[in-house]
Amino acid sequence: MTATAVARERLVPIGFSARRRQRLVVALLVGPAVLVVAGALLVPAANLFVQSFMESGGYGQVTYHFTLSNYTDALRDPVYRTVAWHSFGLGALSALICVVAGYPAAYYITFKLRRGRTLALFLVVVSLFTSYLVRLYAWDTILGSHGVINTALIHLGIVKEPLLFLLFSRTAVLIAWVNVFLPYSILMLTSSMQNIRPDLLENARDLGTGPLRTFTRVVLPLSMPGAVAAFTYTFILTSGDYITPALLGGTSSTSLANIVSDEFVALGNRPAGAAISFVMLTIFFLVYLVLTRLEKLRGI
Amino acid sequence: MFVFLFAPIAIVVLFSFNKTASLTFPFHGWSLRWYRAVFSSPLYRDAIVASLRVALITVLVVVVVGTLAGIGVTRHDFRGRGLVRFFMLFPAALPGLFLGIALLSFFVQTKVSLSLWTVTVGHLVYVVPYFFLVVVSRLQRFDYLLEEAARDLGAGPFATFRRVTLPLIAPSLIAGALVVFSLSWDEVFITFFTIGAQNTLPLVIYSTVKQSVDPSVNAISTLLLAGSLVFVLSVRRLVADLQQ
Amino acid sequence: MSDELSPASRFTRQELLRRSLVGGAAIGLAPAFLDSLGGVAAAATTEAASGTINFFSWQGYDLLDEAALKTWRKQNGVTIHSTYVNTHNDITAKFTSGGGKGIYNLSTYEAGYGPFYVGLGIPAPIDVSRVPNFKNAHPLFRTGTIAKKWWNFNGHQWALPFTWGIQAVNYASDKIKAPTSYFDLLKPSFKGKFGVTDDPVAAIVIGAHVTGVFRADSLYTPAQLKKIIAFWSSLKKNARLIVPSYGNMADLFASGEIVAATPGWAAVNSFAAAKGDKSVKHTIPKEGSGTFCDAFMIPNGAKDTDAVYAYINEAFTLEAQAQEAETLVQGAVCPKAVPLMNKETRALYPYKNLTQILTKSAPLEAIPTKVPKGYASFDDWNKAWERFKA
Repeated sequence: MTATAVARERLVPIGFSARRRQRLVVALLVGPAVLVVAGALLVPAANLFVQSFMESGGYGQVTYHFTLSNYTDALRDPVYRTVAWHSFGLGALSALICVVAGYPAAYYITFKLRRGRTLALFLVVVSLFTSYLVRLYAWDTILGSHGVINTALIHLGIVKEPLLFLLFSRTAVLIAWVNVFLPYSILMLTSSMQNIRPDLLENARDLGTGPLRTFTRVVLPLSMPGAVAAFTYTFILTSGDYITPALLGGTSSTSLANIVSDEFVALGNRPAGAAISFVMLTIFFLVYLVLTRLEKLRGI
Repeated sequence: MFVFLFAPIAIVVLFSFNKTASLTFPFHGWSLRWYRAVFSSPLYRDAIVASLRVALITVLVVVVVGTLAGIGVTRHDFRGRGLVRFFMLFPAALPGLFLGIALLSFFVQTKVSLSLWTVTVGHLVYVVPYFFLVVVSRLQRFDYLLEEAARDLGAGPFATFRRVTLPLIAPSLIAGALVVFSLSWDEVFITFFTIGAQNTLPLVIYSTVKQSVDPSVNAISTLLLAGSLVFVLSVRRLVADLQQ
Repeated sequence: MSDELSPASRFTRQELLRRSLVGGAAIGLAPAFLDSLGGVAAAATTEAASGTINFFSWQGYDLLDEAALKTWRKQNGVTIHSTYVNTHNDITAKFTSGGGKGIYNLSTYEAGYGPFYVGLGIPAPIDVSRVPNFKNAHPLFRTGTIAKKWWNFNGHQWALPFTWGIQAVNYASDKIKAPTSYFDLLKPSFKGKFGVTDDPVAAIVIGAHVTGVFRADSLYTPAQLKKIIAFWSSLKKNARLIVPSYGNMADLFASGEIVAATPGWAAVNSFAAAKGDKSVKHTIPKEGSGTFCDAFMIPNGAKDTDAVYAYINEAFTLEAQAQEAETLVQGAVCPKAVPLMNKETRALYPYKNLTQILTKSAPLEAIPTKVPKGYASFDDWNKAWERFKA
């Protein structure tokens, strides 16, 4: 309940000077944060946006000459499209897995665990405490041809030769991404599920609804916001991660994020890098829009 | 599932004790040499100090700025409220790569020299959405009648805030601060683009991971893990005590 | 164990090792005067050099591990703060983006990048009179056509070359015999067993040798570049992975994930040995390979260059050069330093033939700059490599 709502309830009229004062108060409260975001994000982003329409005049130089070529080049380039397809596809797949795998865990933690709940959540959070880079490197040891899994499989006689596709492949990147983002997904889903009033579930049970239908009819729709958030979060962050594909991707080590980064660092071409970044942003935005629309459609 | 989550971490911890410089099996035996290397290395020490500085300043600024904004947005109905909310959450939609690049381009054009301060600015905008979410979700569940009661009893707005509101939202603020701290502490993408001649810990680890790695990286990570665990546990104890 | 330098091998432009570890060494301040170390031929420097050096380049080039320089730093109260790079592009980016100007006072560039960097205004002219020990260097690095191409032109000395090395193929000698040709790697026996290093400059130069279009000035038509990339693409199909850096390469050998890698670098042998795999060797296939040569440069806008000059000068003493060759596993530029090296380091490169290789078959290649129409520019190289990786 906002203060104004409370005030309205008590039918206290807000006088003119009170309103002015309120505006001042709001400005003071909200101002600093807005300044931070505006100064550190909006202005630089706008600047980058402008640059995306300029020409590149050699390494690190920008000639201020309007052109759409950065965008058309980026969108028309078949190589970029292939890379983008793979990058986004892999990112979306990992996001999907995180959400799907996260649901059982979140459900269990929210509704089934009583005393163990804090501990379980704590464990989930702890898995985030190790630098993600170092964890990345640990996958070599686990998935490598002389790693934990392969050694175990050979030892048990399940395979004769080590499975090479486990490491230095898109599979490895997928595994690493899910490992990193699953905790976040579980947390978001849990938080979303915690808002579901338990009596709703009880009502459903009382009415004789089986557990599966309770899940699909009650839990799923009500926790959709959390699922959408988890998916979008994972999707966006995996798309911006150029380190994981480079280290674990094998011969598929380029991602769209790599290309952007290289445009800036290796080629010194800010306009082109900027254009590709904004195309990526647009895609994120579209994905988010589509998901939220879908969610609204499913809504009760 | 926890096995999956913790497998890499287990490996990291295990190999921090490896006798040789290898990070792959076979495991050669137990040794503390990497821990000794970490403690005696000015490289790691400087990086840890730098990371701490950035993270602490980020936390301080974000907690103040974010709480104020949260209060503003939840308490008052004003034009542009939706827009403000959007702006607060918007940075979360951007990969760190983009934020870093945008900031770097901007600094280059405005001829601002890169340093830990530019890194802090980057971290600030990066973490705002997360803290804001925490604060707002807490304030939305906040019972304003408690404040009303205090006001009725004659307390002024500041006193009400200090005595009533703040203690009640403190646990959420602390949780948010912890989240922000760990986000800043582990951040590498934005940092990479906005840093000057210094290094933060994730950057050191990043560079190490890309080149000839030795388990001192593992040692550092294990230490950080242990440290964060201790930190979080003691904060929880503190919060629990506060609530008495 | 020694690398054979086939007559066909040339001094070509190469991109450098990717090593990056952020390093820093704070050394205590003890005022003292410089002792001329192992003094032969060179005049002892007498500049009182205390101060801080802010170094930005490849790990190892700040010469932290060489004993002679350690002592010198201590005696002169010189501290080094280092930031290391992953790729040569990092150097370009840092000094053109405004983020590096005025902060760093010592860096390096690989010979081929010279004209490119000077065009971008990156290096500041070097006052050679303040580096008298540079006279120890082989004349090829100081005067003559090669020097005038990469380090001394437009009336200024832009950089001082101090080390060089060859990049070809690393292989695990306990598992396979040395490949005699790059095309060996295309055989089925190598499927999924080797790595292609993410080093576009080295790769394109090697590719030029392989496809028979090698040119000393690195000017290739787009069609030739396409063929070169096609060669690497065919390699990539047979490879296990694209190796992100030379440091990674050592790990990959040590963990047995690969048995070979190209472009290679001799120093990986010692990295891998440190990880417990002493079998990694480096060899040059018959098509030839590329050589890189790195030089100290002082970035434009650098402050407090006294310590830097004194330090560089010290790096050119014979003892220091011998130690540099040893720790970097690369070649030295001062011929009289060779007798001071240990056996393995001396055996790395055929110093006896140095003149022949450097003059006859060894023009240092450039990154294509001032590219005439119809030829591929450096941008084109980078773009083509991006496509290759995708």
